Amino acid sequence: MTFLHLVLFASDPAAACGGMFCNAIQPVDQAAERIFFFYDQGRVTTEVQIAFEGEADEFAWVVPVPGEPTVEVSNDAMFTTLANQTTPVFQLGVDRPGSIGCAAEMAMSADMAPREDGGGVTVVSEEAVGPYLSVVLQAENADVLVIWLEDNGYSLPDGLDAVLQPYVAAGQYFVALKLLSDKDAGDIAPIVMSYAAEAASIPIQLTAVAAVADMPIEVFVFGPSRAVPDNYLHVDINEAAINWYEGADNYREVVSAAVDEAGGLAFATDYAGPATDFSGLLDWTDRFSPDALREADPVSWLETIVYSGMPGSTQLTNLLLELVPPPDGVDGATFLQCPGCYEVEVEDWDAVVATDRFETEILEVMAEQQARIDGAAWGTRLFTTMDPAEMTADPVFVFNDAVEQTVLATRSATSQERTNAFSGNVVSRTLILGDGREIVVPDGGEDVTAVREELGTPAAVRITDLSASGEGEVLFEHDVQADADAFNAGCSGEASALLAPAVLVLAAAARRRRA
Amino acid sequence: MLGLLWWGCAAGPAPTPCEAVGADEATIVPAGADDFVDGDALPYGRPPQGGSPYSPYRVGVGGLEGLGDGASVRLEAYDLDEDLVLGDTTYELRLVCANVGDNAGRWVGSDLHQRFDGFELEDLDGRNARVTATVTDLSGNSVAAWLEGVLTPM
Repeated sequence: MTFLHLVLFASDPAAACGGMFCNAIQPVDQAAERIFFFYDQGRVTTEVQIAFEGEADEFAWVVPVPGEPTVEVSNDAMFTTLANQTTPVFQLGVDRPGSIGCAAEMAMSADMAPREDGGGVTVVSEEAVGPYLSVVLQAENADVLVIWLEDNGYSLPDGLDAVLQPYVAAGQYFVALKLLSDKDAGDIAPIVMSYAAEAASIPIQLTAVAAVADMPIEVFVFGPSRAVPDNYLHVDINEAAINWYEGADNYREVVSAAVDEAGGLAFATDYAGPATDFSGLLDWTDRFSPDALREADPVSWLETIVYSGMPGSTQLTNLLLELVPPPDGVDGATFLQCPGCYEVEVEDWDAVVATDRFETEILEVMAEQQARIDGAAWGTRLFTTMDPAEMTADPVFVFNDAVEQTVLATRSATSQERTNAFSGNVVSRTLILGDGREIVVPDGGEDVTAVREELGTPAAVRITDLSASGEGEVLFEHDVQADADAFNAGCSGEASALLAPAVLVLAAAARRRRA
Repeated sequence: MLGLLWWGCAAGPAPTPCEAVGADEATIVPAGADDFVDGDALPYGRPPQGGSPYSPYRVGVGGLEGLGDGASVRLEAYDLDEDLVLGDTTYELRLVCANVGDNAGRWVGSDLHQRFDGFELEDLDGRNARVTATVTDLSGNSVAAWLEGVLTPM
C-alpha cells in the first residue's frame, strides 16, 4: 500500500515514550496528535511529530506553510516531556468525617536558488534534512503540483488536488518530505519548520485526507501571552461530567462532547502558564562531562546516558543502539534498561565519535528546543477532537493578554463521604466541585457521563468566541443552578424516593457545619 | 453552594431557545464592528497566519432550525463597480445556539473568513463591495443577509 501521509502526525504510544525512559510515575499522555508552535517577532516555528507505519519508499509527507520555510530535524523528547507536564490532572480529595483524610491523584542544505521546474512548479529549495529529502515547492495550481509530486515519486491519494487548491491559491509554500534511500521508517523524526507569519495555524483541511474519526489534537503555543483560537470557539468543560471516581478516564470524551456542542470547531484549554514552568527540562548540555564520555568504554558510556534521567526519545534510542548494538538475542529496550548486565563487544568502538554524535544529534537539538521555549513568555496547551468532515477551516491561534492568563492543569474536587458507623461502608458521597457545585453520588459505580446525558446537562459550561483582544463574547453559558432546577422539576419516582433520606441527612449535616 | 445536583434521576434535556419558531432572518457584520451600517469601511488584511487577503465576518441566523446539526454558510464578495467576484468561500459547519448576550436565541459561530484568493492587498483597497452570507440548513432552506461597504485595509 502506498499513500501520502498528510496527517500532521499519528499517535504511536511506543514512539511517544521513545521506546525507553518511560516513567510510569508520571501520567504519560499518549495517543494524541501533537503540534508545537513558537511565535517570536513575526516568525512562527512549528515542530511536528510524524508517525508512519509502512515501507520506507511509501513514506511521503506534504504540508503547506504560509512563508518560505527553513526545515530541520527535531527530537521526540519535547513532545513527551511537555505533554506529560501539562496533562490535565483531576485531583479528588476525600473528606470522610471521622476518618483520616486522604488524597489520590488520578490522571488520567544544501542552499540553492529557486528554480522553475517546468509545468508551473517552482522548487524553492531541496536538501537532505536528517533522514529526509526535503523539498520546498510553490505551484501555479494544484493540478501541476500533484503532477510534480507524482513525477518525483510521491504516491498520492485520489482527490488531493481539491484539498491542495485553497493553499495553492493562497500562495503558500509546500514542504514535501521523503526518506533518503538509506533510511527506513524507524528513522522518522519530528521536523521543525520556521517561517514568517503573525499567527500559528494548522492546515487541517489537508489533514482531513488521512484523518480518523474523533481525532484528538493537542496544540502547544508559546508566545508573549496565553494563546486562544481566533476562528474557532473556546469551550470550558463541565467538570460535573468528569468521572472523578474513575480516574477522570472520560476527560477526552467530555472535551469531545463540549466541542460538539460548540459546533465541532472549538478548543478547550488544558493548560496555560509561564514558559518558566518548563525551564531546564530539555537542555542537558551541561549535565554530562564530555571528557569523561570521550574516554568511556561502551557499557559505561551507555550507562552514563541511560541512567542520567534525561528525557527519552526515539532518536536517542536509535542512536544509542546504533553505536552500541545489543548482544545477539537481546532486544534493544531490554538491553538499554541494564547495559551492564550483558557482555558487550563493539568493533571499532570510538568514544570520541560516539560522543560527538550524541552531542550534535541529541543534546544540541534538545538545547535548541529549550531555547525556543525559553524565548517565550507563556505557554498554552489546547485540545480538541475532530472528525474529518469537520475539518473545514484551518484553526488559527492568536495571543490574548486580556483573558485570564493562567489555566491550571490540576483541577480539584472533594468527595465528602458518609460511612456506616458499624460496617464502615460508604453509604453516600457528595462530590464538591471547584466551582462550588455539590453533586450527590448514590454509589461509586455511577456512570457520570450517562447520567449527565440523561439529565441533559451540557458538557460545556461556557462557549466563548475569543480573538486577539478583549475578553471575548460568551455565546453559551450553562446555568449550573438549572441542574438543580431540572432535578426539582423532573425528578420523581423510585430513585428519588430511595435517595431522599440521603439528601436530608446531607442537608442536616450542612446545617450543622454552618452552625 | 451554587447548586445541589443529584445523579440518579432524569429531567431530560431542556429545549434550546433556537428551536422556537420565528421569522427566518440572518445578519452579517464585519468582526468587531457590531454597529456597522452600509457604506462603512469593510476591514480587510493579510490573515495573521499568512496567505491570501481576507475579511472576517460574523454571521447570525434566526428562524431556521437544526443548524446545530449542520449548515452551509457561503460568503460572496462582489465588486459593485467592476461587476467582479472578489471572493467566494463556503463553510460546512455546525452553529451554536446562543443563550446569552445580544444573540440569545439565534444561531452563531466563530468568525468566518472571506478569502480574496488571487488578489494582492493593494488590489482591494477602496473597492465598493457587497458581501452576502447565505446560510442553508440540512433541509435546503436558506436565508441570506448582505452588507455593502468600502474595502479598507485593517
